[in-house]
Amino acid sequence: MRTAARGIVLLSSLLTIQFGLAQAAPKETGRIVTKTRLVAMFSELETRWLQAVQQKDETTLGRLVSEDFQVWTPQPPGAPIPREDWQKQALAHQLVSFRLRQMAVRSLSNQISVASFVLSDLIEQGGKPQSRDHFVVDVWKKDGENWQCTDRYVWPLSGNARRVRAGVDLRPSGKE
Amino acid sequence: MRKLLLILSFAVACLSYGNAQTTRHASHMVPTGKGWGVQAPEGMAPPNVQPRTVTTGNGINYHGGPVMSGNPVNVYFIWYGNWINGPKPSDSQATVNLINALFGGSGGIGNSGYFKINTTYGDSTQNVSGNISVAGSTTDSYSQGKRLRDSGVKAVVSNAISSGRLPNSTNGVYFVLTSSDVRETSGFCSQYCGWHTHATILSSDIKYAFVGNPDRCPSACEMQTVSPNGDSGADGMASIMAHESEEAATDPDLNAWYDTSGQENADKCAWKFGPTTGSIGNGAYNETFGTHHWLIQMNWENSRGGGCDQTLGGTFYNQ
Repeated sequence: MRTAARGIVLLSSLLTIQFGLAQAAPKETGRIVTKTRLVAMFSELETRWLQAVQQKDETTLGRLVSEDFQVWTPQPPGAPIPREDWQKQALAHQLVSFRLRQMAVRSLSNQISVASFVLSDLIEQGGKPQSRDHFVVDVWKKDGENWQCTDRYVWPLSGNARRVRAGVDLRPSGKE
Repeated sequence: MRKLLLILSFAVACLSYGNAQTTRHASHMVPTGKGWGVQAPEGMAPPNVQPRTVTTGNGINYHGGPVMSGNPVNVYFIWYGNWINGPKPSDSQATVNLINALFGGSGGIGNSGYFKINTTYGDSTQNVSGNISVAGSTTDSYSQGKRLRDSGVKAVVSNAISSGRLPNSTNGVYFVLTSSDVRETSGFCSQYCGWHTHATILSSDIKYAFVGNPDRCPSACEMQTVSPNGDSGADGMASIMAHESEEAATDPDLNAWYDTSGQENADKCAWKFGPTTGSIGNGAYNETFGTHHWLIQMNWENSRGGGCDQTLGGTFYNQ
């Protein structure tokens, strides 16, 4: 009799836990957005840029980044990386694949826009694959009919931010 | 005791399986609403459901959820903020009239060759009808303030229904349309121009959408400031509202039609218009419904291999 009673208590507990889990499970919320015209446009430019790196196409790169392009990182000593050094570094390894997400673009004027996004890529260096995630902010300036990037700010991501890449997505709940 | 434990284990396994069925299946990317897809939760088998009359292989996939098959699908407008004499000229009755005309019962987008592109989408019982029209509207004078969160948009819809100003309809899409002085704080103008979703409101599965007056950020949300109806706000909204409408009709619960990268039908043709009459930036248009010309993005046709076109069965264009 005591065994049966224990069983009932155990069953009730498990049912309660299961019910709790069911209640806590995320429902199909989220929302599907219409991206802005600028997000569409700069996504395309950034993709073209990365494809140029992939194909080691210096001509296209030259069109997309300005003469005085520089890269800023939080690494000491804090001096910017000039265009020539960045390009040498970027073309030294093989960019196997890449993905852009969380793209947002702020238009500061007709001539200047700021694009921010998370860049996940897979490179091959010395025969070893290496996956990386960075938060990137690019400052774009319009030169005639074309846009050129003048400054890039890059932060490497780690910890929670990388979980997004692994598919443990911080899916919009619709309650932000 | 051992028997009892076996029974308990079986019961728990059944319950776990039941819970698992509420999530999406694996090996597919699903929309996040942020312009990219994510891997669906693992361990779920794809549902073996085929849409009634639609075949696959057209660049967009069916995931087992329902479509909106109403004939027509009802549209409800909630004009939020100041649409009489707001800060921009387009915060006006003229815009209200133009959007009413766009979704009017006759001479509107409903049953047009353009909206009939959506008839190529269906679920296990029926296809989208291709008809859509306005069935009611109301106003809301900043009940949630000028800074709206996503939760505020939902509250606006919920209040409109619970107060009886709009009916409770599962065959409806409720549009919250904000005047140019309202800021939707989750990325309006920098990430998106509008969005759609669904939620349980008053025990019903309510589909709703947000579209702000694009005159708040013309460079981000308008293709041209000189527009076919002389109202850049209304003309900009027209394309975004068409986009949300066709996505709401074909993927109302975010579990029906989207591609491997998580894009729904209109996402695949966003900011692509095809050939126009007149030049972009100078009042160009590509659609005529009734007496009005409009510049409206193309939509993805789920047939003939798939592509963006301006009308059902029309030519596919890349831009």
